[in-house]
Amino acid sequence: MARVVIEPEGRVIEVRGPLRVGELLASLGLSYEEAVVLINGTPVPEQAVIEGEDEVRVLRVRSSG
Amino acid sequence: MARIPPCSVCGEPAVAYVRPLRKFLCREHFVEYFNRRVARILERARVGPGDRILVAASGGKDSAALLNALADLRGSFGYELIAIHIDLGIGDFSRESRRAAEVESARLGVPLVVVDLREAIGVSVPELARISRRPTCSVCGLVKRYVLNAAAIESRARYIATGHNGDDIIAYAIKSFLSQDLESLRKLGPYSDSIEGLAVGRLRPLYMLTEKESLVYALLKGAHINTATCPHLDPDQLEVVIKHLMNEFEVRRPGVKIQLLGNLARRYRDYPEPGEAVAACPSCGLISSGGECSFCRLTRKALGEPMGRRVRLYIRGKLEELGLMGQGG
Repeated sequence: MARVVIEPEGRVIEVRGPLRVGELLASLGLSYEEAVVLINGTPVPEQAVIEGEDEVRVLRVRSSG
Repeated sequence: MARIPPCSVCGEPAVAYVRPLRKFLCREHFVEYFNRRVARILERARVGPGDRILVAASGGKDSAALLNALADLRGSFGYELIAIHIDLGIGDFSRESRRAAEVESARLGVPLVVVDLREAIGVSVPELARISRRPTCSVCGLVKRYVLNAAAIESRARYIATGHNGDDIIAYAIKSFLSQDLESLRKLGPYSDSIEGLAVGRLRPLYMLTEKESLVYALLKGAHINTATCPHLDPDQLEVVIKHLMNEFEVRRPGVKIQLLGNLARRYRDYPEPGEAVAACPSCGLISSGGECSFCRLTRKALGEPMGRRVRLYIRGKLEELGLMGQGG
């Protein structure tokens, strides 16, 4: 299982790989324009595939105000 | 281990898929792409050696990306950078924003002018909003525009560079169109000209880049950023809603945002010129549309005296401390 941290809320979920990043975002109700996904600390395109044991961070793209 | 598509240029693992190019790009080629887009705006605005650019450093992702890109391109264009941060006095949000701006400008070797609003005029933005009974975001926008222009005039900067990205520009454009405020559309180009002694031109180097690209770039550069959102930002604000709808639209029709930005960058001068007159504020000497400028009017009403002149003197003192007075051009 891959661990996914969703920021800024800090919510943690686990997903079963293989899973496309785009599918993960869709399951969270986000479009690829609205989030940056990092796998093991590096940004990846939405076509990347998450596998078990990956550390995933989802950063919402938003204005600071 | 994750499966990452290879960079379309070199085969290294990609960090992004760039739709306008229809390419996957790795870290190195994404940074190159981002800097090239910024450079194109600088070329259009004829930025060159000896120019001083005042960079608005809010501490957020966009201004961090902007500062990093402009620092990268210093050598090619020969300009000088000064960063400015306005401490608005909005609790922890302002403290973290200020720290981020200080860390980032120090890391990049860019001198930073910090304008602490409470030090300059005695009140924070939320206090000024409360006293004047105006919405906080409206007061904040007015204060920021005034301080940036005053600092650019005092430092003799050629341009004020802001971190407005393509998504911001689209949101402002659609908002202006919805209210048929067509004169505002004319202000939404990638750069604007100065008005001698009154107002310094704006430069929007991130114009052809999305908000997401800006965040990816800031992360790749290892920038220190404040990721928090201002506590006063209304999530139902029209600009926020428009951004969300445009992102949905982009998913259904990839390329729609960049197409709109390209067209606006070509056509913004076709919209009507603002009918209002341009004059010098009798209180502070900076731009007004006749009579006192909005900042002097607001502070006179709320604090009993117009504060524009005081802000200019405060900024002059800060520039002197940093040895930045009497240069630029």
